[in-house]
Amino acid sequence: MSEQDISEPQLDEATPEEGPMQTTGEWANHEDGDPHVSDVDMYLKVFGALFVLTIITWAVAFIDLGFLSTPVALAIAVLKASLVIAFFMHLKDAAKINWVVGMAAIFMVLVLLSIIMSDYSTRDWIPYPDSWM
Amino acid sequence: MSDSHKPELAHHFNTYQQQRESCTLGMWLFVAQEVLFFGGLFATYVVYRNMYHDAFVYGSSKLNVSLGFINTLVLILSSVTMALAVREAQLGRNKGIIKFLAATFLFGAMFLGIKTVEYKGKWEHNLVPGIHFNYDPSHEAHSEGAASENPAVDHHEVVVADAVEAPSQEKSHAIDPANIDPGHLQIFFAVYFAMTGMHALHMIIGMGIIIFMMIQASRNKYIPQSHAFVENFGLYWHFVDLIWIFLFPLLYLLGRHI
Repeated sequence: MSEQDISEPQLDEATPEEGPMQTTGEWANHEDGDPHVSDVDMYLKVFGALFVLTIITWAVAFIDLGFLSTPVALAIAVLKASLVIAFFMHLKDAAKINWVVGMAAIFMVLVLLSIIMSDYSTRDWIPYPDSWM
Repeated sequence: MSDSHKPELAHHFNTYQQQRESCTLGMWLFVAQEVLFFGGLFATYVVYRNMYHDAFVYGSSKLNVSLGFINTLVLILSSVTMALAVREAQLGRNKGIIKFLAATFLFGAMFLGIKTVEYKGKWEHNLVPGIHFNYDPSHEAHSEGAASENPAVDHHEVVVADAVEAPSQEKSHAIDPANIDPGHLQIFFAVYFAMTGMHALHMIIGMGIIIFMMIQASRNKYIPQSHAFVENFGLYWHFVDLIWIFLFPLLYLLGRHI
């Protein structure tokens, strides 16, 4: 059996009336059985942007920016991550529910970090009572 | 049972699109769980970095930034070939899937090879946490080489340390290796090995799945209506790339300017 036999889309014309789900809300983004396919060009552009940003973050690290070093490095990392998530992971074109799931995970990590750091960074604000020692 | 004319459509879905989007949502839930898993490791990093700032900056300067930089580029390359493999899967072109998965596998192997060289260097310099961890920063500024991968960094360090002696400077400018507790440095390397090791483990698992997908593609298993496995694996592989995008600046670039 040749590759062509199987890869040929085999949809019939009956799909639009198939069921109630596909015509409502986020389930109705695309034609049934027809995933959104981006241009190769788009992937190469994103790759170029990631490449350039990597070189920038590497070069900037050798300059002493004082307290700004880490924020700048993290800002570039967040920008790179956003490109990967939006274009490589197709979140831009995916159903919005996936966006909610992804952002919820990031939000929970931020909650984790802020609670942990609000503990560790304030431990010496108040002296321990003698009875604890 | 599935409809006879739509063999790839599971009976509990109305349409291919609904099936595909359900698969994608399930994978995003898994990726979210992975984000939380690595979030714990990142929280460890943040806590100890704030506790032992100087040891972390100094430990970071002991990592090989050139290899880390090359690895970042290699991983981005593997991500773009993976994205193109998913694109081939969306078009149902199994030969293209095999081609781009092979490239992804190759870049993944290159990444792990470079990582092995780095780990080997840390092992030889006794920088692996444990009973063999043996590092005395007080000798570091004077002795040339033995424990350092890059003599230029050492030289630079001494110069900077001398230069900023006079003006009053706060942290991160003049870090004197003699003032760094080897125990704190050991914590830095423990965090380094835990985070990069867990990342490398994800890549090894991923490369195993790539081989499985190449076998499946060689049997023409993927068609435009049913390629969720490749698509979901793409999400996993890009997630692994995301972790490295944050690990590289946090671990390798932190101590570059000292």
